[in-house]
Amino acid sequence: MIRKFGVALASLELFLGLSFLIASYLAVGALAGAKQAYSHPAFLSLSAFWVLNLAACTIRKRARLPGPVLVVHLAVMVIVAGGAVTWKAGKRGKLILESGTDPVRTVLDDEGVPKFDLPFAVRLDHFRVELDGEDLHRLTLSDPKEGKEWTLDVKPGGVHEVPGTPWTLVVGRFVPDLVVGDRGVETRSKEPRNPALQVAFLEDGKPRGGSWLFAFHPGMHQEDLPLEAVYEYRPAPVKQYVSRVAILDGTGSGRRTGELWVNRPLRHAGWTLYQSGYDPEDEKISILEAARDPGVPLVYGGFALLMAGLTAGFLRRRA
Amino acid sequence: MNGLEVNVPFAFFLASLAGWGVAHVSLRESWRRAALALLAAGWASQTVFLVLRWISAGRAPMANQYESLLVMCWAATALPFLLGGAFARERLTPWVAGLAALLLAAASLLDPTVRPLMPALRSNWLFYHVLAAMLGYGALSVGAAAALPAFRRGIDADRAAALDGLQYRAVSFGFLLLTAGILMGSVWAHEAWGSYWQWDPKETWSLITWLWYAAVLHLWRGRGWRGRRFAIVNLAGFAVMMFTYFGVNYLMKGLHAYAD
Repeated sequence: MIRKFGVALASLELFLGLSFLIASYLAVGALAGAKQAYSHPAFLSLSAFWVLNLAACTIRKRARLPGPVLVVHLAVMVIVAGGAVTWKAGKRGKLILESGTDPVRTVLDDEGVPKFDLPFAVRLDHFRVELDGEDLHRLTLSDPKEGKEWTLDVKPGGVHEVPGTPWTLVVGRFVPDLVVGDRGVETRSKEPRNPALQVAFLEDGKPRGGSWLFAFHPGMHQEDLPLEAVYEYRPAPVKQYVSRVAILDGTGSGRRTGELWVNRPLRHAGWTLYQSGYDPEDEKISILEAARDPGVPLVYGGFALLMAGLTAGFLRRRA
Repeated sequence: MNGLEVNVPFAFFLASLAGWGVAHVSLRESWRRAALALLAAGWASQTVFLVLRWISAGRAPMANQYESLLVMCWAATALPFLLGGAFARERLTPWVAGLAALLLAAASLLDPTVRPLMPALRSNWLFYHVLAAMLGYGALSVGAAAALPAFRRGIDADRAAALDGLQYRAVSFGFLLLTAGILMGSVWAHEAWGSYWQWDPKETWSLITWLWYAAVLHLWRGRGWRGRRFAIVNLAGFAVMMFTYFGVNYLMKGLHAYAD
């Protein structure tokens, strides 16, 4: 009876059936956008059973299986073990820092609820957003009567001649999110939700009409303009965002400073700080991710074993 | 140049398909060789355009769906020459040329503009992770192409066995590269975001693809599946893989959205 159970547990058919079940579960979870399904006891049990099948197969057939296959099987088990360590012992959460304020040690979850305290405090000394180039303000002017068109890349505060015409274009203010308030034209936010550019035309030095051009509402408020205008706005892409932080121990004295940015985390006392995001409305605020994961060495070791086993198996078959 | 980098290879691949069609009707060896030469010329032209795009962008051309599709097509068209044997090259040529033409047709619908990298993509891992993944997808696509002749009637046993062998070699090579791509993506995710796995839709569907092909390889080695049975599960795996590559980008939101 036990022997029959052992044979069934180590069977390839069980592996195929469990793999299909897990793949189906994963697919439904992904299509439903339900990440929480992957920490449900049903999924964890199914995965544990899959690993048990893998272990049973590896042990029972170890004499028959080629070396690389054994390595691959072992690697998968090591990776899953690393994942289990991460799930049980890993810690991560968000640090929201504002330059010019007190150091922070409380890590928050995605809803902003405090999760735990770090063994040290982090102070944001400086935050900067580096842009790749400049904002693009492109005007396509046209004169339907003459059948002519001009494309100009302009800048707020600039003056531009329209080639081959008596027209001069004077560019005024740029407002990223135009709204008309009590004090006239204002911006609701720094985000380009309703970008608008103020323009005026001169003909031989004399004013001939002006208006606001709206990137998302072409054709609006153009009655006073001598030429038709289409305004295209493209903000300068963000190249990088960089935080300069000080890490303070329990006594409050500075232990170290450092800079971190996306893909360049900062490591301290077994913790790693990652540049996670920032607030576009307030560039004094930086959002970091703090993480500590004892499962990573196991997982990375499993990765190395997996690649070694697969590569050896592939080369062995070719030989 | 944007139009040329799709249209020139596309023309070569269509010409290769046409050459194979003439070879099939006329039974003349010279047309088969011409079809193969046109496929090689298409691959060479793709290589030139990818290098030019790399120089123009100042970075590897792998930052969005358009660029990754070009790389996948480039990888797929190289494989008939890498898998070895005149039989492999001649049997696969029409299918790979057709596949390459389809991939380029899909690329022509996407935005080809070269844009600067966003912060999350500014890492050397972009090159290694995307290259491995696209080479893997390319190889698995060739494996699927090699499965199609299995549904023809009247194919003799020797040719059937040779086609099966082609399928297996392409799929096992693709599986190795797909694994490398997934693992490198995982390491990169940990370096960038502090977590090697977050059940992002792209990650989850990559795992589904990996599990499927692991099962496919087990069916070959462990249960001796060949012929039409093996071709069916192989093609099903290809469908899963294509959903992972295309479907996830358009139907689900996730961390990979920036690469669309």
